[in-house]
Amino acid sequence: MRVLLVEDSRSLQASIAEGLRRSGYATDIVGDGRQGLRLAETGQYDVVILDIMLPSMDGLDVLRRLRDTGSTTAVLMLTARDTVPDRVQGLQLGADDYLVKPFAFDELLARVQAIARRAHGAAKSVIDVGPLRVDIIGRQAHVDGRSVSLTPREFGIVEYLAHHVGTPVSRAELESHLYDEYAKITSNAVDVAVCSLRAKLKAAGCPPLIHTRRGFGYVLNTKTRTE
Amino acid sequence: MTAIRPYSIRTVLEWRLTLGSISVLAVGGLTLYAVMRVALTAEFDADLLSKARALAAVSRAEPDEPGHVEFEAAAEALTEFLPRTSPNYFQIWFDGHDWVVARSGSLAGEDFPAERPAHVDADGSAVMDVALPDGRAGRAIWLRTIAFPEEVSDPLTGAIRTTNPIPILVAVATDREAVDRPLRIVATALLALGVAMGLGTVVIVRLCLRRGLRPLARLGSAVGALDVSRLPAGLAIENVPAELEGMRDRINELLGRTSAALERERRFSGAAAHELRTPIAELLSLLDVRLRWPESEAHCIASMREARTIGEWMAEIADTLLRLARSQHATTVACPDPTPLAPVVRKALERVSQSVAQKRLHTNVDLDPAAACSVDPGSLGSIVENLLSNAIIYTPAGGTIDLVVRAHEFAIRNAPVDLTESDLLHMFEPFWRKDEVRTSITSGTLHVGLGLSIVQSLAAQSGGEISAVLDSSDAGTRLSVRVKWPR
Repeated sequence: MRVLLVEDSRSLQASIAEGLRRSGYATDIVGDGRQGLRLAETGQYDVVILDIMLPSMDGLDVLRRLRDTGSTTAVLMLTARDTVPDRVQGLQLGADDYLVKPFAFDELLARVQAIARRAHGAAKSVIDVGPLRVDIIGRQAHVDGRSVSLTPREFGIVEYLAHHVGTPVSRAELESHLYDEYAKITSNAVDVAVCSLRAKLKAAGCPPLIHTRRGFGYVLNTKTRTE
Repeated sequence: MTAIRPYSIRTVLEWRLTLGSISVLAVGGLTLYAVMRVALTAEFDADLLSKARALAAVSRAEPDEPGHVEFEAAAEALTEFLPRTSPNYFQIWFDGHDWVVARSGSLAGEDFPAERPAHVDADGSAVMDVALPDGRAGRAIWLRTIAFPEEVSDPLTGAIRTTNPIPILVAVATDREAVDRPLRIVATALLALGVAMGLGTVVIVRLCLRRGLRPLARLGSAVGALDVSRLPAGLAIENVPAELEGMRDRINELLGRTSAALERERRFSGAAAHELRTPIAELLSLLDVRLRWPESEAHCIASMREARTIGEWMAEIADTLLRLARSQHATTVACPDPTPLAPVVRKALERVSQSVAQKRLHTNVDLDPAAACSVDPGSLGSIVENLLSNAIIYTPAGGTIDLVVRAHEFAIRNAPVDLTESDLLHMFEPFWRKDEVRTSITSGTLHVGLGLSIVQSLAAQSGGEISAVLDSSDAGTRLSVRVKWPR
């Protein structure tokens, strides 16, 4: 999952980004509205966390212009304004959720997870693929009820594949959703992480569920055919 | 507790005007009726009097029989006094005696149906209402008069014989129908006319008031329909009468001012919420993340340092807000001795010297050594220092700040960062800052955005005025902020 944080407070940028990254979200940070809009329009983000009072362009303007382009990227408004008209305005402009400052980081994380889940069409907080259970909220993977210890990056891969179960996902797509602009990505970083993930799942007794589509990427399903 | 229902101006006016109009109509009708009654009765009484006089005229003192009065009326003249249906009555007495000279046949030998009056008018008559013997309502007249003697010529001697006049009392009574009937017709007509006019008055009063008070009702409805949570700039009411024009204009003026004040308050609330909640959010987010992922001791120490910086920032916001509140509620202290401006400006320059040096700014001071103004030193120092700090923050590194100090005037000029004419409308509002310096920790400078608001409040409290002007020339844009006090 890749998140864009548009927030002008450097302290908030740093702490939120650290928390999100440690939770397995690739997070890009930008401090003003125009840059935020430019990045959000690329469409490579699963969730945009958008402050309202921003330099150069108001967060509501960013949201309006983003929706005008037809973008359906999930947007979580983050603001100090807590009046009903402010919230209504943000939601009417197309925000998916609204969080008033100050907030607990856990709540922010839960809301990001919830709107990301909705964005991927999953109503439930857990996704079952054969014996594998992916707990989106708990950031945990289980095989036949037993917890599998995964790094945030590995969990990000299995979570993304679980959201697209049965659908091949390219390496480039995985990269763009798993690595932010600060990450140093090697050419086979995704392959290495997938390999490690497969090994951990196999060690936990899970049959092969992540299949390689040669020359394209990966798919998560219960079929055993591997190319 | 019973709610008191508000009264309606229209209803009150309707009632009052209707009752007033009906009262006037009633008084008019009654007066007309009374006048007609008096006139008809007077005419009737005059007719009675003439009848009494006619009867008296045919009563003659008899010369041949002294003390005897002869009643010599022609039979056709007494037709109305004959016994028949609805007759009239008369009786003639020797005045002061019960001796009857004559009485009408209609009395059938009975006495006249009324007591003699105790007093008579100057013309010798008295009139009163009586009940006639046949039960009809009647009116009677008594006439005290004289039966003059008849002069008789002696056929033999030709001498004229006469006798003394004899006082007589003539009474005539007749029924009142000749008066009462026309009066009944008049009363009925007046009553019918009064009812019709009363109803017409009710309708006319209601219509006139409804139409006449329509502008007031429209104004009342427009004011009553105001949504206090979303005030319009003014009431959209045209063609109001002159009496309401002033009220509408004042309401519109009030609405405009209230809307502007609410808008300022909304901007202030939004800005204050942002300024106060953002550092709290920074602090909580920082602590939440560090508590969840403590990592190393070095990480924790770095987070604590950052938390301390945020705390200092919050303290600065609180202090500045308190200063703003104090400046807004300060009362002008009479300053008998003018405060010299030069030492105040030098002290302020000294206090900001470190910031000036950090940004490599140049300051030009054009100072009148004798400049002074009647403002207390504390307020003056705060004004000068806040303006200087603001100029330092908004001037790009290496720029120049000009200070001009004259009697009763302090001005500061600098080349601001990306300031526009529209910014001048808001730059004195609390928490207003340009984007480049809006974020405290981003800019690394503690700038809350309340300095100019404090200066504006202090200037106003000390009787001064503050103005900001943007001058554009080939050399670039320069912002001039000037505070002037009355001499």
